[in-house]
Amino acid sequence: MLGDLHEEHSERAELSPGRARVWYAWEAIRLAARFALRSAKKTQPAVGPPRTRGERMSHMLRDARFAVRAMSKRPGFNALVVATLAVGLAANAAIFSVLNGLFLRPLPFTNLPRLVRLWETAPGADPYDVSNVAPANFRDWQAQSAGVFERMVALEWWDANLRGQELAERVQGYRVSARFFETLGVAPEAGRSFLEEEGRPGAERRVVLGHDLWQRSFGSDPGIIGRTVTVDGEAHVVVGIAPRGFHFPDGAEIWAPLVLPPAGADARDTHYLTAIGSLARGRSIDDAAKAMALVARRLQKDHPETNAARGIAIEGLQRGYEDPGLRPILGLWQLAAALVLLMACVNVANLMLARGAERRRELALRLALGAERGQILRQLLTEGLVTSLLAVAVSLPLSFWAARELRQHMPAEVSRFLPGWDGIRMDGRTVAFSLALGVLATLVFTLVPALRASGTALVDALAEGGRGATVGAGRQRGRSVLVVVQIAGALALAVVAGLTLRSAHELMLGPQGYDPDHLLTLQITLPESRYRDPQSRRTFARSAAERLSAIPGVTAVGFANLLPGQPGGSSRPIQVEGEPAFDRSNPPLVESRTASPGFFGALRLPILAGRGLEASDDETARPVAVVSRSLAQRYWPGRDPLGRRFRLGGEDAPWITVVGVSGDVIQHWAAHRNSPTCYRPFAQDPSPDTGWALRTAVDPEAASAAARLAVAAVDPYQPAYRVWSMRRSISISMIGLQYVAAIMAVFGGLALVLAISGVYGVMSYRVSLRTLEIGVRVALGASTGDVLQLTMAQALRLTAAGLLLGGAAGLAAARALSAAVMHAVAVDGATFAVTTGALAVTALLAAYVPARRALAVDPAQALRSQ
Amino acid sequence: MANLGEFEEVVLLAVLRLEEEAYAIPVREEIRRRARRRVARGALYTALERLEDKGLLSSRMGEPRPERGGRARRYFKVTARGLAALRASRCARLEMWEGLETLLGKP
Repeated sequence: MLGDLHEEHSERAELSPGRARVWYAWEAIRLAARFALRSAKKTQPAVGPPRTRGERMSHMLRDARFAVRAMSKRPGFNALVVATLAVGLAANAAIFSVLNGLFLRPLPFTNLPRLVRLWETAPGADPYDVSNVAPANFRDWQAQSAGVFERMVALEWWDANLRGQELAERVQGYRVSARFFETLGVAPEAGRSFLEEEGRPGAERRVVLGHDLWQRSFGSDPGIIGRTVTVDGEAHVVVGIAPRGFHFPDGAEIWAPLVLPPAGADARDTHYLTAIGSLARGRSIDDAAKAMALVARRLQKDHPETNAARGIAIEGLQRGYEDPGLRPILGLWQLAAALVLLMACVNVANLMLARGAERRRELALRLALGAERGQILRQLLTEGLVTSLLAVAVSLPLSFWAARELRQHMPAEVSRFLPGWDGIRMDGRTVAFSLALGVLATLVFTLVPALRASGTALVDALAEGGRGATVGAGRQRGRSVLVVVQIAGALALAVVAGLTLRSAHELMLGPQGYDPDHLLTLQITLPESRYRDPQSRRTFARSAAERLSAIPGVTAVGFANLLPGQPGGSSRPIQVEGEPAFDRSNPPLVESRTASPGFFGALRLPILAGRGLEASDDETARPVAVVSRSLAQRYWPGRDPLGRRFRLGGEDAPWITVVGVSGDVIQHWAAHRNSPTCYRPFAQDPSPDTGWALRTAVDPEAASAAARLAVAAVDPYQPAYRVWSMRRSISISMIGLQYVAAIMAVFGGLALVLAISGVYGVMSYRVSLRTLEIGVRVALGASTGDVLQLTMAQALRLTAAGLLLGGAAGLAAARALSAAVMHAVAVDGATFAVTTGALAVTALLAAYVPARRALAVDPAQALRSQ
Repeated sequence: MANLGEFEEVVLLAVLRLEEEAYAIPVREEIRRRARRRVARGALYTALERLEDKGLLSSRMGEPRPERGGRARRYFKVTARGLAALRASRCARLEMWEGLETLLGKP
């Protein structure tokens, strides 16, 4: 049989291997199902108790077969159950695959278990300031920790400007110690890593290219090794190619040897190196921490002027490179997914309860014939387990698809910076997770109905013969609880989804404070090596502005050190003239930007009072600034800000005069809206980083190529990067929030569907049990209104209880989510009320429809049907 | 003699037509081509197995083949009892058709 399959498969595989594989799997499943059913038909359920272990085993198999047989008798019911569970399981598996990719195996390094990240600590210091190491300290760490570390390497951020085939390209680079790759346990795909001697001055013009960069810019040319490429205007020899998918750290695509200043000439007070160590064999992180504490104490004593209170912190490399914001968000997602699964289980439990009532006679009969209660229970659990396993099987392709969607919708320019994102997929661990969850779900949804069904008072069940005007109060209560749980769960998820969607939509497509349409943006970072002199940066900016303005279709050009919609910020402490000096440990901060005279016009950022920046505000003129309305209101409330002075930083900073007030903009979604901002003339403080905005008459991205060429015409070694429309820029900067919103929306939608179908199912079952009662009431003269009131009152009570619980849970969840995404999610009453109202109406509708149907039955027929 | 089911008859005839080449894949193909009907793979295996149980078919294993993942083909052959059953079935059918040709005609 298998041979036949194989033979046909190999014929098909010649035409289309992919399709053949699907065909093979499908045919194999069909065959297996057929034979499973056939053998099931030959068996009967357990009647007598098992005596030996072997017998018990065969009883279990018999139970499983009987379960398959019982299920195949009710395909519709069981398909519904399996589909419901499968959706819940798939939601969980998809989120788990993200967790798995990002937290459990993000860094594919052989040495990962032994790798640690080290940094300096200082009491009360800004975490960004201490996350790095001063070179002289690093040298001492290296020398004094030989016992616990096999090796310690240092990394330094490097913005590499690579001269490509036609245009220059900006590439994220890192300068790294010799044997950096070996320390991580990563072998170059081709060529070699850096040698010890390449870490000395004069020999450092070597690079290892990232795999993608090699493909993109050098056409995967295998002969590139040994040739030279121009980086930052200087020739570098390519010595190796990094393996595919290796972007460590932080999306790096090019690596060069790190040259430390010679001993004695190196600083202890500028902290710019990242330190990574690999523990010596047999040493733990604790050992290393103890050893490094000693080193830190020695350095404190030897160099009190720089290292007075400095300690050394150590953390596992993976932990050390995690985005601190990811954990709470993913935790919330997994929680939401678990809630969806719980609701699916509740739905299934409901169906099973309804089914249990139907099966009472069957079970009672078997009890009467001598089956033990435990056996019946086991039989029902086996049925549940078979259902779950089927659901897991159905959920796997779904989760596979969901994981792929999650992975692929992340733009490449973002996913490079998320270690492990490209590794999100269904693997053995995720499948095992699904299986475990399936078994757990079985316990949740079968245990209650099974206990209840097996506990049937058998005489009653047989005597009743399935008749009965109403069902016992205890059973009603069980189902009421389920309804309340469902409504509460759905509301909680729907509220969170609603709030997140609304906030994301508002931030992304709502008013930005300027006109983001028809705007092309591009970034230029002038390298320190060739633009050290501020005058050279001014000259470059002036020529670039001229060239970019000359592009046909471009109507205005402006630039700033940082455009709105770009990640990052540059906050500085502000001192207002005439106010007491600020508290140094907690200074008031404002966003400090430098902008060109054309900036406000190009962005259509309104000037509300005074004037904008002008060409005459140059390095020879007095320092001036335009401040945002929020800044003016905060520091000069109720007073005219024009002509007033402030300074950024300490006492040696110059006083800056306010010449104008501009509108507020959304600088970045993570920063609060309307963050106080001041704009100083670029000419008075020319930064190496510039973000350019080109107002265009037509589609802004149509001008991208011309803009790149214009920049290259000013300086052929100077790349422009992130050349795309402002809309796209905003969208990319918000990708995280968009993901949060999309996933919450999917979960909210699922929860809503599950809750509505659950409420509908329970209500209609309940009403159907009461058909006789309703018939009697109508026959005795009850009006339609009376009966509706009777059935709806109950629904109303349950809905109200569910909404109350769900509202509280939703509020708590929304707060938690908002905290996890920089308070970008606003908890607003309107969204809350609309969601609650919509859910209440649908829940009541789900109760109303069956009630109405019961009323439509002729009372005479209702009485006769029993 | 056991009566032949309609599907069993079709399977037996297909095996007979294929002579030496009668293993599951061509049998199924033959039925698809001549009787214009798609047979579920499982149904065919069940029928072959049942016919063998009834003694109407016999089978032998061929040589292991690489394109089958090293597995051998199972070749079927109609037994003497199978032939007798087919003949009986044919006689019965022809008796039933007798005199109805003008009414039902040729397709």
